[in-house]
Amino acid sequence: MRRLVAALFLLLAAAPAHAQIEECTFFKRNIDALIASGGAPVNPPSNDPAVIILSPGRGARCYAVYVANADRANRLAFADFVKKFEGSRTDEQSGTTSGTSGTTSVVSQGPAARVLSIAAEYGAITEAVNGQVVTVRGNLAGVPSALVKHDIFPYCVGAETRNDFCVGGSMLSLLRHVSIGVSFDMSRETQTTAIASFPTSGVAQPVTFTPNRNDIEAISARVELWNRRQITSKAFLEQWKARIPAAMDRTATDLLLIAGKFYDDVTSQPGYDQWHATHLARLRAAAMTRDRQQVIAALNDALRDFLATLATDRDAVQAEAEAAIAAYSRFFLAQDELLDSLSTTVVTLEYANDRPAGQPVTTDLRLIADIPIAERTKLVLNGGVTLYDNPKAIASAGVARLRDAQIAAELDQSLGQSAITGPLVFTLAGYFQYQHSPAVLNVDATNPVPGVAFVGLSPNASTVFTTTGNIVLGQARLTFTPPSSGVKIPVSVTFANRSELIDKATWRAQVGVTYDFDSLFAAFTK
Amino acid sequence: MIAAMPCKLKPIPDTSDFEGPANEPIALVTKDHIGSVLIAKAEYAGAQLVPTGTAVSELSFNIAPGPKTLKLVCVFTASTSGVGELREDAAPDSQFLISLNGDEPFQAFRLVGK
Repeated sequence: MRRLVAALFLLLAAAPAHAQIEECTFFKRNIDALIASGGAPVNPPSNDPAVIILSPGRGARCYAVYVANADRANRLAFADFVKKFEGSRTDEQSGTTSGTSGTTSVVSQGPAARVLSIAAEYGAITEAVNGQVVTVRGNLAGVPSALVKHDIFPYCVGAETRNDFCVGGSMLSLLRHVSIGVSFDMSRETQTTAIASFPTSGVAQPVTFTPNRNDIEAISARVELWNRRQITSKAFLEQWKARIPAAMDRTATDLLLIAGKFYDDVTSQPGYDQWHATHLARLRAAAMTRDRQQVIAALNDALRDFLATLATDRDAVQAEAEAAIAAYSRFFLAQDELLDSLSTTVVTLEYANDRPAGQPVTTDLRLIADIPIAERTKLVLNGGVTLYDNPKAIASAGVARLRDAQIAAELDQSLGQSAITGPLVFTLAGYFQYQHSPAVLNVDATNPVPGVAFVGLSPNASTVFTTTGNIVLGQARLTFTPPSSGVKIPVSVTFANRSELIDKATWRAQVGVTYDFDSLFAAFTK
Repeated sequence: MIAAMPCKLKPIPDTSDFEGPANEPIALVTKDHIGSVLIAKAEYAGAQLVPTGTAVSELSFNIAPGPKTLKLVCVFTASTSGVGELREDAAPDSQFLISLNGDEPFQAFRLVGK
């Protein structure tokens, strides 16, 4: 295996040294402009494509790519893979989806954690069976973002996405809109089935214990169907401007320092001024032909000679170029993440396959709309249906495929933050569930439904169900986010006119704990 | 009547650099073309020009004597597709200095104070 990895590494490291110069957007843009101008001087010179293309300060990224030989540089960075990951967000759904056994959320949120989150919740809302559910939820963009952030692959710009060894911003943006989650029922983890080894009438009886491994409560996937970002609106621009310092201070500072050092060093080389003057004339002459191949050949010559001017300290400048490429990648990623995190109207489709203990398997389909109303206020709307996966198997209970339909609304109001509790969010939510088919429980003496005791059932009964009734509930919730902890603690009080199984009004209190691994990964980067 | 304040920077031939009167104040502003652009970081003659915790569309400073590099890091609402420009502003006069492109957020050029 080691030999295979070593051979692969050598093969990658031996790949062609220089990418086509037109693959770098700065070079391509200015080659186009140079051919269009025919090499004639443009005034001011700072807008002259011949001058610009020979100015490392105007296209430091592409110069760094050329100097560093980006492919080789980024493959060598594999050694750094195990380090660190990314920043955090406050508006994401970490727990199981609303409607799942054990959830403390009346309304599902749209966004998910960027890398990974874990939520533990106790206290069912609409269901009579309490669940202890732990949900692991991740965003598909998490891993490729981490690869960029840790200099394993560069972020590719525009047409540079053709490079096999970079991660495109548009692809990351697409993946950022897809998340998947798995919920585990921790109460089932503790269940064990004991089966008598052989019949005996004694007081002490030997048994064989069999663990119940079917502890996946639900799996879910979420795709953002619509994400409306009005980048020209005043509200968007104000929010963007306000969040730039927090979101980008570090990456912008790094870029200023690292790209600045690269620029200083390449332009202070002894032969730099001579190189610039010589190749400016040659480039203009090539552009006069308006022949693209001649212009590209002239630029290739210029860049080759540019490398030659670095001969005195080539290795050091090459290392600076590699560092600059990494700084650019982190900057672009932070910029995209900032833009994606700004309040936008998002419509999300959620699919969940719910496998609660002692109940038939159901499928949830839900539309979620996140609508920012003001900087601190957000409205979330849900509409969804729950379907029995196999209604025929429980037809004796009088069920149809449609189990229930739900609509819900939630108003989130940020209350600011204090030193102890961190950011506080107050939430009011309302929920209506139209119960089309009765809720069904499977009766299995060897695998009982947690928290439910059956009395007086026929020994042959395998399915029980109750009368249907619509559910109306309201919830008030306060979510604490202790500073720098990555933990969110929602505490809520819910009133429901009934639950799926119990035809009585109830007050319930719920508490949950969410751990956002984005914050943990961010801590590694400090 | 307000006297016209002509721009002070003059382009240096065949370079992206500019020269101007040393110790004179100048104001540089960003102008949006595709999306919006702001300056997140700026360094000139060893000084940071963007106050911590802000991103700005205007920089004001005095031209330092001799050749000094102005380094900028810009942020764009249109990400790597964003386009804007940096201008010298001396109302009612104004002049183009350099273009700003989202794929090259770091820009550096020299200002020579004479």
